[in-house]
This record gives sequence, C-alpha cells and structure tokens, in this order.
Amino acid sequence: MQLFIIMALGVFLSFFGVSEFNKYSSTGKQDNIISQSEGYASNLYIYNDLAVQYLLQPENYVKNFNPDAVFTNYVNYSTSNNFNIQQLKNYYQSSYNFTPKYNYNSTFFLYSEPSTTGANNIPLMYLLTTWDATSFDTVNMFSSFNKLLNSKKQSGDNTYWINGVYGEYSNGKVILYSMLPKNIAPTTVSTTLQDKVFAQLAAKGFKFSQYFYLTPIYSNN
Amino acid sequence: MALLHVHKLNNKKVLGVGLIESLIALALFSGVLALYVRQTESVNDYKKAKVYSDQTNVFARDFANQLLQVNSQTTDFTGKAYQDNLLITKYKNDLIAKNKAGQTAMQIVTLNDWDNKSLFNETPCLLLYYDNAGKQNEMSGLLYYVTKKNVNIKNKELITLKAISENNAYNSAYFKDNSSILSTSKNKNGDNIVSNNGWGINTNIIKYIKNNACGSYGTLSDNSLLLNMQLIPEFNNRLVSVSGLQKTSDQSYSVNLQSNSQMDNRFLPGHLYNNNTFKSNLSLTDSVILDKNPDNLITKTINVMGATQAAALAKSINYVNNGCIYADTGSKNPPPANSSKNCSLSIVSADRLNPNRTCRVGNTYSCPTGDGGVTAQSACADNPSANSALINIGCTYVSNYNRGDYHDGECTDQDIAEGSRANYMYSMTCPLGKGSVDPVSMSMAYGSGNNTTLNFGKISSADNSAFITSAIQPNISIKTGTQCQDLELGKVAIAQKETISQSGQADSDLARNLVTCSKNATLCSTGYCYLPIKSTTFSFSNPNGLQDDNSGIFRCPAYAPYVVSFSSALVQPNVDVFTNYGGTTTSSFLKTAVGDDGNGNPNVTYSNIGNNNKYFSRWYNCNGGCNRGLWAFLRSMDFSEANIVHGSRLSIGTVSIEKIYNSSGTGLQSPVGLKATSTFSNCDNVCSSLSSPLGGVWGNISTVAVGLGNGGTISYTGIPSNKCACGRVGGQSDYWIYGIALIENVNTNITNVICSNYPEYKFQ
Repeated sequence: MQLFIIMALGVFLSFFGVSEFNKYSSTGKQDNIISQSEGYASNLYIYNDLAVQYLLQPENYVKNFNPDAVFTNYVNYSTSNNFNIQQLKNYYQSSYNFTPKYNYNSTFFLYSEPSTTGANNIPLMYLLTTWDATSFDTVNMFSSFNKLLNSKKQSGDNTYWINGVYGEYSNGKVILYSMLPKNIAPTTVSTTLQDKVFAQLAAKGFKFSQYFYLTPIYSNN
Repeated sequence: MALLHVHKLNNKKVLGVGLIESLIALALFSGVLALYVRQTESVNDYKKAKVYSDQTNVFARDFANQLLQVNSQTTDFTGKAYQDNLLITKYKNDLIAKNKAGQTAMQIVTLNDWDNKSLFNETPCLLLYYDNAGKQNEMSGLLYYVTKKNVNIKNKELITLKAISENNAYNSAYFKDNSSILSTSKNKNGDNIVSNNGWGINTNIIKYIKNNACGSYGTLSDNSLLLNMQLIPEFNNRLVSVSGLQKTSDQSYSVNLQSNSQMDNRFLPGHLYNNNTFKSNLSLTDSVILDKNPDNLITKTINVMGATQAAALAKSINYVNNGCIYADTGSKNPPPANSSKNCSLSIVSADRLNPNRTCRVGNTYSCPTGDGGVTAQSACADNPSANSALINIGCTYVSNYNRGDYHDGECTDQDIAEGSRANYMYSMTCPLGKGSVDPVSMSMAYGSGNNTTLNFGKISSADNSAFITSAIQPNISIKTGTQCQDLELGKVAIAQKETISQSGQADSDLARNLVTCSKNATLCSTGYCYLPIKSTTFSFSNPNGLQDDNSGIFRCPAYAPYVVSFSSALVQPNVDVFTNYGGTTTSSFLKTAVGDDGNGNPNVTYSNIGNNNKYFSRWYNCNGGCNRGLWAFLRSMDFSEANIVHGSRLSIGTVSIEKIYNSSGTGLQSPVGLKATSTFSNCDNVCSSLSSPLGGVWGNISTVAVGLGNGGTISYTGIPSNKCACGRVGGQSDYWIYGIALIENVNTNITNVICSNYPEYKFQ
C-alpha cells in the first residue's frame, strides 16, 4: 500500500515538475520562433539605420536631393540609386561586425505629390529596402518589427507615431503589414504605393524582392 | 504451533519485502526530488535572465539620458545663454579631436550616482568610440559590465544566453572568461540556438575594454552581457527621426540644469527634444521678407553668413538645408585662390566648436597679420553688428550650384577651430511652395536692452499685422499694454507679473500670459503695443449672488483677472431718466431748479419746473428757435427725493453694480472686480453703465456737465450716497447736454460674471 502511495506521489510530482518546467522554459519551439524573429527584426532595423546614415551623409544627400529634378509620374528614380550592404560597409566595419540576415537590396527615390493647385511641391526622399524570405519567417519578423517600432523602449516617452510602412509587394499588389494611424486608411496607402510609386519604380527598372520597408528621409542630420 | 510457526515465518517475509519496497520508493522519491530541484533551478535562472536583460536596458537608457544632460552653457554676443554643449556633443567633439590627432578615439563613461546595486554585483560602463576610417562620422556606444571580483556564479553563461534570447533587439553579445567576447551572430542557416540580430563588436573594441576596463570599478565580468547603444533612440536619434513623424517640440521639457539655475530651459536645434525643428545655423544681416508669387515658385534671396558646406562637412555641423539653393554672391568673383581662409561661421557655431578661442568678441586678441594686415585682423574677430540671433528657418540645402574648384576646402581646420569668419556673403534662395499663401515675413525685432528676438509671420499695412510667435521663446517680461515701436513688431515677452491688492489679504498675482508687440490702432494709443497672445474666459454663476465675502465684492481670480461682462438679478426699478436726446425716458422730472432771473438775481427758484418732462431738453429750449433757455440761467439742480416726481422707472440691475479697477491711472484699463452694496463709491464708474441700456455715452453729471450755464458753474445737489446723478455726453457744450438720469442703488445680486485673462481695453 505504501508503495502505491509513494509512487502516486512521485508521479504527481513528476507531472507537476515537468509542466512547470515547460511553463517557464524558453526552449520550446514557439519561444525559439519568437526569439529568432526578434533577432531578424533587429537585424532589419540595424540595416535600415545604416542605410539612412548612408543617405544622410552630406555628400550623398546633397548630390541626390535635387528639388528641380524631373518627375515622371511623381517619381524621380534611376537604377544608379540602388545600393546594398556592400556600399554600407564603410559605415560600420571599423567599429563593429554586422551580418545581414537577408539579402537586402535598397534604393532611394524622390517623390513629389501632384498638387491640386498646380504648384510644384518640394519633393521628399524615400528609402526603399526589399528582400526575399519565406512568408513564415517574414510574418513573424514583421510581428516583432512592429513590436520593436512601437515599444516604449524604442520610441521613448515621446508621442511620435510611426510612418514607415512595410509589407509585401508581389504580382503588382501591395499588402501592408505595418500599422498606420487610424486617420490614415491602409487601402489609400496601399493604392498610392502600388500605383504611384512601386509601379513607377518597376517600370524604371527597379527589381523588387517580395518584401519591402519604406521610410522617408528627412534632412535633419 | 506449526501453523503459528508458519505464520511467524510469513511475517518475517512480509517485513523483508517492505524494506525493499521502501528503498525503491526512496530512490524514486530522490529522483523526483532531483528533478524538482533542477526544475526550480531552471526557473530561477530564467528569472535572473529576465532581470539581467531588463536591468541592462534600464542602464542603457540611463546612460543615454545622462549624455543628454547639459554640460555647459553657451553665451552668444548678446549675453543670451543657451543650453548648449550637451555631454554627448562634448564627448563626440573630444573623440573627433582625438581621431584627427591620430589618437585612440575611445572614452569610458560611468553612471552618475551609481548605487552599486545590480545583479551579480556588476557595474555597468559605457564605451564611446569614434572611428572615421570609413567616413562613418558617428560616435558609437557599447554598454558592458565590470566587477571588482570575478566569482564563479553557477550557470552565469547560461543566464546570459537566456538574457540575450529574452531581448534580441538589444542584447547581442556577451563577454566570456575574461579572454574573448563572443558574438552569437549566425547566419539564417546556422544552428545556433540563440537568435540574434547580426551585430557584433570588432577586435579593437575588445582589446580596449579588456585593457582599460572601467577604472576603479574593476575588470571585465565573465560571461557578462554587452549591449549595442546604437539601438537606443536617446543615443541614436536617427532611429526616431526616420521612423516617426516629428511632433511639435517639447519646449517645456524640463531638464536637469545641474548647478546653473539661470540657464534658459530651451534646446538648440539638433537636440533630441527639439527634433522637429530644422537645423540651419544662420546669421541674418538684416530683416527679410519672403515674398509670394502665385504663379511661380516662391523664392527669396536671403543674405546669410552661415556655416559653409566645407565647414559643415569638416565638422559635422548643420548647414543650410531643405530646398534652398545656395549661391555664391561674394564680391570676389571668381573667388581668390586663397579663399580657403574665407571661412564663415556663426558665432554660436564657433562658440560651440571652440568657446575658449582667442579670436572672439570681447577678447583682446591681435590676430596674426595676414595677407590683408588690418583686414585680416577684423576678419578674424567676431563682428556683432553682422551677427544676430540664432534661427531655424526650415530650409534644406541643395547643391545644384556648381561652386567650382576654388571653393573646395574653403575652411581649414584652423579656421574652424578659431571660429574665424570673413566678410564673404552668400545668398540662399528658398522655395516655399506655390499657391495661395499669405506673404511670409521674418524679422528681427530689437529694442532696448539687447532684447532681440526673431519672429515669423505676416505683415501688412492693415490692423492685426502680427507675427506668428508661438515658436519663439520669450526671455523678457513686459507689462501688458506697454507701447512698443514699429521695429519691435512681433517681439514676444512674458506678461509682467501683476498683483491685485485686497483689503485684509495678501497681494495676489494676476495670471501670466504671453504678449507680443502688435500693431493695433484701436487698442494701442501709439499704434503699437504689447497685447496678450491668447484670450481665455471663465464664467462664474450663482443665482443667489456672487461675492467674495460679506462686503458684496466679487473679484475675478488671478488666472483670469479681468471682468468681461456680467449680469444681475434686480428686485425693484432704480433708474429715473429725465431727458435723453432721441432715446428712452421715464417721464420723471424735477419739481424745482435754481437759477438767476436774467436780471442778475441768483438763487431764484423755478417751481413746478417739471410740468413738462422735456424741461431740460434741447427741444424745450430750442423749439421755434434755439436760445440759451433755462440752461443759460441754471445755477443748481436738486436731486433730493422730495424734489423728484418719479415716472415709470427702469429696472437696470447692472447699473447698481459698481466696477472695480486695479488702478485709476490713464491708459488701458479693465475692471478686475464688481461691487454690489447699498452705496456707490465712484459715480464715474456707475454712470458709464447706462451707456449700454440707454445709448450714448454717460458719465457722472458732475464730470460731464461742467461749464454749463451762462453765469457760472452749475452745482448738482441733494444726491445721497446710494444714488448717482448721470449726464449723457454731448449737446451744445456751453448750454445743455443730451441727457440726465438718476440711478438708485437697490438690492442687487451679481448672478453671473465672465472673467478673462485678456483685458478689455478702453481709453480714459
């Protein structure tokens, strides 16, 4: 009888121990996916910051930002604008190591909204980064990326709202994964990107990968 | 017995099996207990990893915020102090200088007021490093831990790895065994169990922190976490600027001013908390107006003395930007071969780069004799007359102008370090867009006391020509209503502190507002004066009567000290209107008046004078041909109750309420309170209340009806303290006035008062 009681107690403790261990262990499959996607998101973040740093270098920005540029369908772009990690190496190699998780390809272009008053608006420069990946990895990565951009740790105590957009561009269609302020309709942004920007870039020779991250470049550095 | 024996044997067998079972059970229990202990240990390790990760992030932000503190103040040539030279700027400049001098550009920073409380008794340290080899032109940061005694902490490496896994966004590497720093970087196809962000540090950094550790705080801690500061937005504000839309600046953000409480609580362009402002350091030589052209790109050429492109590139400082076309309009065309010495920096920039330079305003320094001798000397000295306030106008520099070879390397390092400048002018054309926009103007408003400010807005010849001033931080206080000059238009100041004195109470302050020098012919006696920027009203109501105490007085509170309007509850009629040219009367009249008889006999009583209630009116005197009539002979008018025949008296409650003013001086005044009691103390204020209900302008009859009568001044008698005799301004000045009325102070409650922080102006 004692044997059964002790064995029952042992089984109970074993069950409890295993369940608790699993509860707090971060070695489960799902935990690994989250952990990996956070790393990928941060990797994109670091790459994008390097690209911004590259574009904001005075010699680059001054050379490339031309308010008198000719706009064809709102966009001023040429394939010579393209760059990738090779052009960015100077901006980190002497200080630290960086390994891109994906084969990022970037470019920049000037975009000028058509004015309803016939005016020539001052254009804005945009940075576009695209890459290919599996949809499983990317969806998880975007989830972590969104969390990263919106976290208090990353945006500080200021009331900034995020206006970089990211998502998927395939078969001429834009699917947004990024969050937008509620007063901006996602369909409007998708249509604008799809028809007025990405289609123009593709027509001018830019080779899109499946996923993209688009940020405006303000000349405040 | 045999049975009994067998039974005994069986009992012994049972006892033996029980012992074996117990041993097995004990072994099982021990196994389970071991599993439990292992599981508990794992849970504790996880908790420690989470704390380690969170703690490291907190330390990183503490370091970043520490670097954003003000290191010192900078004073411009007007004596104005700016929060300049943040610690992060100081460190960067120091490291740049070291880099240029060929020294190792690294700096270790510790936390201020470190309390020695952290997991594993480690101390966080920050390594700042700068390497311009790849033109990265950026200061990087690495947070790491040191300890005074490296003790063997069980599972420390595992805990650190879990901490990295806990927050891959920031924690990306760790230090191991005091011999190497491991980066967990693996490519996507690697089999590393710890995910990471691909960031790692290079061998130079490893060597430096191994050799220098963190001063007296000890040596590098084994298996400790490392954090990339480039991912902390307070440290790398580029992260925020590209991913977030800039909001209005936190002008009111309070920072630790350290020991200098006199410093302005403002941020120069480029500070994270002023991130939305554009960052051009320009010195205007004069006020400029930016024009509008509805058909063409709006442009305006502005002469500037700003940091040149070469200077900006050399020192990573800001320069003219945002869509402005920068053109060389110097008098030297083409620029001379020695133009490399024609360096142009604003004083503020020069101060920031080298505040202790010898060539600065106020310093008695004789510059080396150059090509131009004395000219070189004056060029070297900062010239206040050619400089002005620091501004940000929001233009982007665009270099589509071919500046030619002569301009390359315009500024030498020595020039910049010395903050030298030359009389070399450039122009900047700023496209402002097209369409129906108002003309935009920009002015430097100056006045006495070196209180120069810079203002933006619109200007026209009409009233309400004012500048947009909300972005300008006032630094002086000026009394509301103070006259200003046209050249001060747009100047902003804090409304000067004012107090209300109340009997038996301490003086109370009036609400402070911002005032700006505005053009307003109605409100400003000379056309220009300081008027409040914002108007706010507050309504106070009580059907049973508003009053501060039993005295029947209500004063508007300090935050909205001016009475704009009020209403009251009246219980009985209280106004006799004897005459009112073209307006309402009450058919009341005076029974007698005293005058002379036209034959030199004064003090003749005219009885039953009021049979006609128009007796004193113009119509009585002038009907059928105007003459001086009764007014010419009148000497005294008696308002005692016995002398009055009341008609249908009017009920005008508001006239029973006396307005209280803060001062009785001339100029711009507004009531600050109301008084509802049984007596009047100032009939000048009371009678003016008739203007609204009866029309015209009314005042105390003793004040407005002086000089009447042909033979001398008319006296007004019989007026008790609870009544005011009022006269309507106008008429034939020597003979008669437009109206006469008598107000009786009756029991009136102030039921509603609207108070404002914006005074209602009127000329006295």
